Amino acid sequence: MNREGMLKPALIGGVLVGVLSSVPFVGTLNCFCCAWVIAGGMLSAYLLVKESLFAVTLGRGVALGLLTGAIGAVVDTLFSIPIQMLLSRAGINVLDQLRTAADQLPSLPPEVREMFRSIPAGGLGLSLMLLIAAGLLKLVIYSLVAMIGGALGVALFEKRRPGEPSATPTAYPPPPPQALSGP
Amino acid sequence: MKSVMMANGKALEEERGMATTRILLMVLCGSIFAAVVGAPILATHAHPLAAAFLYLMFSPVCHQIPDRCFSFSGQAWAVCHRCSGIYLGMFLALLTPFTAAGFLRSAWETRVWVLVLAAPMLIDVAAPHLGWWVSTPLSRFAAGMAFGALISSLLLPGISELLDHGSPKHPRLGAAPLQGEIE
Repeated sequence: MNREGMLKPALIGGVLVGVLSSVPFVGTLNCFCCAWVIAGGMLSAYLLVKESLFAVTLGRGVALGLLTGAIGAVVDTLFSIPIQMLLSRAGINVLDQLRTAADQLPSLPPEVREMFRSIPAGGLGLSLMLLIAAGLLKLVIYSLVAMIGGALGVALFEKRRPGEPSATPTAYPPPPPQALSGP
Repeated sequence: MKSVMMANGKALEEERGMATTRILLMVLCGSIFAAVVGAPILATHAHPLAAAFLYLMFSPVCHQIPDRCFSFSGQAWAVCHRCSGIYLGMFLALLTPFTAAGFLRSAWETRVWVLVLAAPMLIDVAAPHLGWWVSTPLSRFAAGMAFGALISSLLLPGISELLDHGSPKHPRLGAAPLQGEIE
């Protein structure tokens, strides 16, 4: 999985995407072209370019974005579970939120709005099922969008030509000078 | 002679790989744009459930404010002007026969390409908040199209490389040469 040192930048970017997307209000920035997800992909690409000894190509940027988005979706879903549990203790379950979201969706046909209102309240099982379904949708969307972020990040931050080594390698520091042995 | 034939064969394979990726991306972007336009058509043609599914699918990535969306028979498209421009721009850019890899020669040129195509959208988002001007549906749509074209130009060589269909010919955007290939 840690192909050419991609795991660490992807983890950092993915966790950032997941945490910021799951926080109420802060996460709504994703409504603007998945801003957090693109930013996470770009951050991962920046970290990879910084760490890599050789020039990072667009293909690696795209792969990194894919990985970042997938990690972001998993973290987002995992963070959503305790948040939902806290909200359900306060009397707000996932279905209520879905109904509110359906009411707030301006383009939704009125028949569908009525349909959402008529669904009977379910227990924890239904809430978990809805969370998992939302998580799967996020997995697809975040992976695709973070790919764009990864490609943009490589295009913006990579200054070397393919195959060209870093002027100052960061991964392997130069060896210390050997002590001169006198006669 | 043998090496020339091998080089020609490799170039042909690369072109085929790029063409396959282009077709895959065209199908994906075309389907997304069709879904965006299809949602209001389905809603006005007595298919509210299918329309609701499409509106809900796009709700995590766009605010879907009706005043900021194109409409069909009084029903808003599934995404806003800017997002519609992005999806159409991605699709139209894939119809053009050239790729960014064909004319960007250096890291500097790539960065200028990214900034020039991303700048209209960034300005169109920021300028109204700063009170410099009021964005219009046309400005949002056009800026989105430019950004969509940028995304396609980066994703095409990136995904092509990722799918291992062959690296683009361009030295900057292509895959890193293997150790034995560096002369």
